[in-house]
Amino acid sequence: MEIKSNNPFEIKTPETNSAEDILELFVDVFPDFWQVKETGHTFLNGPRGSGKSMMFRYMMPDCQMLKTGSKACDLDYFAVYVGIKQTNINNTDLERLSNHATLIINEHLLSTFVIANVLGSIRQTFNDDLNDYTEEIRRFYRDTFVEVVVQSGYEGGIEKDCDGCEGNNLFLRMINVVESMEKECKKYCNRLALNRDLATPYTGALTDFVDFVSPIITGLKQISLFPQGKPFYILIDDAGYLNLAQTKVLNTWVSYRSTKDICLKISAQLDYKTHLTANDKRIEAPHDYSEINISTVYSSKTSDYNDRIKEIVRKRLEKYLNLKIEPEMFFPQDEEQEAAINAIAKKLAEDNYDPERPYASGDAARRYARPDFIKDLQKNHKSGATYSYAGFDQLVAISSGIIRYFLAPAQEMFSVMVAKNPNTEIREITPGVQDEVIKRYSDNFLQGQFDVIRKDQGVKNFTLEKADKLYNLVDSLGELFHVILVSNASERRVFSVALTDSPDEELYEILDKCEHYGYIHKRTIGNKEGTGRNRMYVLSRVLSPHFKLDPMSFAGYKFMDSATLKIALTSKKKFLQAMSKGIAQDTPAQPTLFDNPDFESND
Amino acid sequence: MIKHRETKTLNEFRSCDRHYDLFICSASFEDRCLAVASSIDLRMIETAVVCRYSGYAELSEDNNTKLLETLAEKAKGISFDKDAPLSIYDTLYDAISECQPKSVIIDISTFTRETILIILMLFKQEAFKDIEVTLCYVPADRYSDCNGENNTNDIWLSKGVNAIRTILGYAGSYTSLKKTLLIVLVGFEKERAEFLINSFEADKLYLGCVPPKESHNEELSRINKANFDRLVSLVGECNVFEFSCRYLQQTHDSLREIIEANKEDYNIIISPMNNKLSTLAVANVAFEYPDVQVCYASTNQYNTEAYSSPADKVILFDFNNR
Amino acid sequence: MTLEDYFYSFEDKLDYFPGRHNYVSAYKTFKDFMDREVHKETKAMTLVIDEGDIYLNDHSADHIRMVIEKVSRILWHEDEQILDLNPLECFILLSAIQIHDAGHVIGGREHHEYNAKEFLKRYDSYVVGSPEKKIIYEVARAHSGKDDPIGKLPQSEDISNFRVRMRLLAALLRLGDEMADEASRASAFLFEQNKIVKGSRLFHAFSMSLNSFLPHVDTQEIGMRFNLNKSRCSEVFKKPTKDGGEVDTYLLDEIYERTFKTFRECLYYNRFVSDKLRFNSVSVTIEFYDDDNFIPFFDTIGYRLQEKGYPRLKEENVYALCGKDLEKDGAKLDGEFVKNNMRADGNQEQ
Repeated sequence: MEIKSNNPFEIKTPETNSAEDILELFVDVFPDFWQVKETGHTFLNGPRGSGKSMMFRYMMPDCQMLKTGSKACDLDYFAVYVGIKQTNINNTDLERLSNHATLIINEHLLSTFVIANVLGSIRQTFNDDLNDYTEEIRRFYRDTFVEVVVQSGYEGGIEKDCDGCEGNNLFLRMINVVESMEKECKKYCNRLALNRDLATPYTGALTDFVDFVSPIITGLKQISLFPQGKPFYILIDDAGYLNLAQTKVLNTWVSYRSTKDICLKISAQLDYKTHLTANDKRIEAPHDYSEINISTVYSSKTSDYNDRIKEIVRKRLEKYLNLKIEPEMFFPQDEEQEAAINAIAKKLAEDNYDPERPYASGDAARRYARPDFIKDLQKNHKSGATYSYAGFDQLVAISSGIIRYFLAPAQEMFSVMVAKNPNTEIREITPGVQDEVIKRYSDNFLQGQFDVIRKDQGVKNFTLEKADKLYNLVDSLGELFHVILVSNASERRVFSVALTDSPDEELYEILDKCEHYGYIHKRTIGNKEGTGRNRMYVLSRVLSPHFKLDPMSFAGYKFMDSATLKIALTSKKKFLQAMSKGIAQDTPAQPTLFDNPDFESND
Repeated sequence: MIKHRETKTLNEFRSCDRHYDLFICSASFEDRCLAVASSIDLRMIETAVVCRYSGYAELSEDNNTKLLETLAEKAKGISFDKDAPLSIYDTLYDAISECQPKSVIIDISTFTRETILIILMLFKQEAFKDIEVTLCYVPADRYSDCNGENNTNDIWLSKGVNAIRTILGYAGSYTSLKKTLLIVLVGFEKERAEFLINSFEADKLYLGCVPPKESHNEELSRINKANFDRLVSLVGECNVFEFSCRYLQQTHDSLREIIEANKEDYNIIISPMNNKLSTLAVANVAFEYPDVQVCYASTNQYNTEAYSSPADKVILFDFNNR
Repeated sequence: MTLEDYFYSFEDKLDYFPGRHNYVSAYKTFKDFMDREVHKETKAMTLVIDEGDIYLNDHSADHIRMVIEKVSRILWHEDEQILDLNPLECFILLSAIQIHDAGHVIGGREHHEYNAKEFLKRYDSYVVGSPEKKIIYEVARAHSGKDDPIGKLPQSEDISNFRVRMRLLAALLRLGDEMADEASRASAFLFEQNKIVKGSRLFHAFSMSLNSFLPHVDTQEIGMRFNLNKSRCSEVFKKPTKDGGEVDTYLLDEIYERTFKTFRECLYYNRFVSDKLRFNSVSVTIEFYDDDNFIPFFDTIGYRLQEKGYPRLKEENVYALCGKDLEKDGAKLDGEFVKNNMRADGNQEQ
């Protein structure tokens, strides 16, 4: 039974979208990430759902030709997509190679994988149009492809005669040959993994960048179908799924600086394993490559992220629901709540009016209105009222600069609305549904991955697993920030901690894991003494509903030493006790120089 | 191929007179791991290997001790990291080589699904393929949370995904000429399934659910259904199929049907996320279709406080590993 | 004891090799094939005037033997075994030495190292698998070229748990090849008979004058001794240039240039070997006497090439050294450039 979806916020992998759909949906983010389209190798880092694959899809020739109205040979670059999925090139069998030809074999696997995908990508883009270039393709096949395949030691038999074969079919033949080379090696790896005998000889072909990938790409480029004198951009998506040896090999390719012919555009989800090459050198930005971190770009104060999301939502509403309305209308806020907050703000402005400090009243209103509202709700918890996270601006803030974190809950919100209102045109997501879904999403963001197992951890004497400690850390930080929010501190909008010293190995590892799961992201800030920079860890706004925090405006951070933060790994109670003095005395929370509601950190 | 031989109560199993050279079991935080070992007549076996996952050594310590005591001088303990599949394979390989058995019985009840599949692949190797292999499985009867309550809506067995990998020996075959098709046999762990599905971004998705008549009991069936419906609402477009938690062949047939319909156009990946019995069916399918990949999502946490009560039955399977 | 002798001593010690395969026997068979079928052809091919006017020096079995001898001298320390190399590494290095010039048979001087792959197919794949062949090929390929070929190799690779230090082996081959350039390599008879084409005479004259080219491991110095007779001293040789022309050159000037190159090769080699294998200087002695009466007709010239004083680079500054890394749109990325080209929106900076 097939279940279909007509949800405007459904997250489809960009690869599955047609060029027309992509052009309709794509919001131009390249002004933020201009390096991606420039000649040169580029690393594009960002969590899943931050738009990397969409950028790559947009760069593909079918989209570019449609956008510019030009032919492929007139494009500024020719992009080919090489998507690394979880398990298509890296698999457990390869672990046996750690003491046996690991770099050689992994380079062969990567080379054949890339070339098979390059040829496949071209074939998919042009299909039978390749037949118009049959003579040139035949020449490439005879003079370059056959030559390098034979040189690689391939003994599977390659048919040199191609006179009866049209361009499209010749590409198919080449893909089959390359995949046969890859398959033979994988079979060997499988045998080796299971029979454990490292002396089992491998007698198949071996390929690499210098003698295989580079000559093939350089040869392909000569075909007049492709832009002459312009590089191929190989878009390697999700390179974090490569194993360590494959990653080192890829870095070695980056170090070759072949950018006249081949530019590597490599995306990863903050999980890229190393920047060392196969010969133990380190590739560095900017001389070997340019680097973009999407989270950093989109969380800075002058970010255009809000505008990007608005545009994405507008386009989707128009395409899928035929609605031409502003996103704020589709995701309305809780008006009653906003009215109450505004009333508090007005009173705060009046109470803090100071003719000599004209900014003071507005400042107070901005700083304290929403926190006071949340605090009042907490005092009156018996009434059952809770803070509502409905409203487009709040949902955008909660998404923390990652598009997926907006779309995924929006997708569910829409499904809920459809379920509640069958056969009705959905023209908005009610605040109640928004709130319900985003809270569930936020809870699941943490508790979908980790949870507390032992309710009273003081009772049994056992060693906590790392997963438990990770959960404790995030839970403790969230709780701390909530306590500050509802306290009488002068700065209650605290969302991050800054360490005054270096964390030890265990704390460092767990903080790293937290970043991997998206619970925090790392920054640095200038220290109080002005003598250097400290590490800062910012809680993801996705967790605001879970910890009852205000996602809209936070600017403060708490300084602490790593020993104090480490308490949080084992005991939230003890951690909060250690921190409680600072909160009560209204001292440690740091106000910022720029008290801008959109300003997240003091970078 | 793995085939169902018979189902016995634990008492009946105790009085069984079949002899095995080697008994392999796993010491777990779940008491279910004791059921077969406690029922086995020591005269039935020559040696025993008690396996333990090193990351949970502390939590499984009590049961490990009990198993070693129960199996007395016949037993030897080994341990491995649940997230080091090569080490699991090598440690078991060495332990079995040392014993040189002609017949083996393996209690798969509390091994991870990954370990079970690794064990099956191990016995297909040249060194072991003449060994007669029997698998036994004690299903869970019910689950409770750490308060001893049976609030099944809040029951969770494992949380999160720490890594996704192919199972050793089941890498299958991939070609860029085909798209990707993911088949998930959905169980309790909805979030784990969701994470896996989102990670693969397959072109086509099949979600398997267990109809009530194919489940071990009504309560478990209800939990599965609720999880399944929620998962479907989250993932968007997908194909739904049914499989069985009780009968190997049914699951095998369901999977075979999907594979036959799609193998020309898709690279096929299967992720078994339901009970061990359905995992055995996946193994059968993987042996029949070696191009199919089997993958595993390793978990962040096990709910070691929630406990499962063993059902009063042992299901026995013959594994034809030639 | 040469490297080969040392390697042969492991013929019965199969535990030292992956899979307990007999690599010694495999090498002997391969070497035999190379001597019979390839190296003699290499010499013959280099006699054929199909490279324009160039007649190459000896790349035959004698040259191979000489390279092995030089490498053995580098590695051999009295009372010790061949330093540092395990038997598998010896195999790799010896195989690489066998093929490093053999590509001339197929491809000629240009890219001859890339053609050597063909010969490795002679190895029984059951004993010597594709990964070993690739390593041999990569080590051999790095013996020539100025684009840092050794630096591009991995430090090491494992074969069935046996470590192969690729850079070390490539460095040994490269230096051994550099040093295997003595008189025996030149075709003295043809030279004296004026049968060598003029474009090649200088290279042959150089080789003929080089009496000794030895690594002294105790002093970590390479010694080069030349002897020039009157005739070779006075002759104005025609040296081919890269642009296809030729320039008048004296043998003595060529010696200066070539010894300087040897020193540079030495410095390059030193990057990839441990301290005890390094050579810190090249000592050159040039004697002037005729072969018939040995009476010197000019004072002996002696000099030592070694690094001294504060390190000097050809490049004068960081811009010259780093090239394009410090350039944008044809201009230097200096303070003035950055000041004049700051973007209005600071957010777009990385």
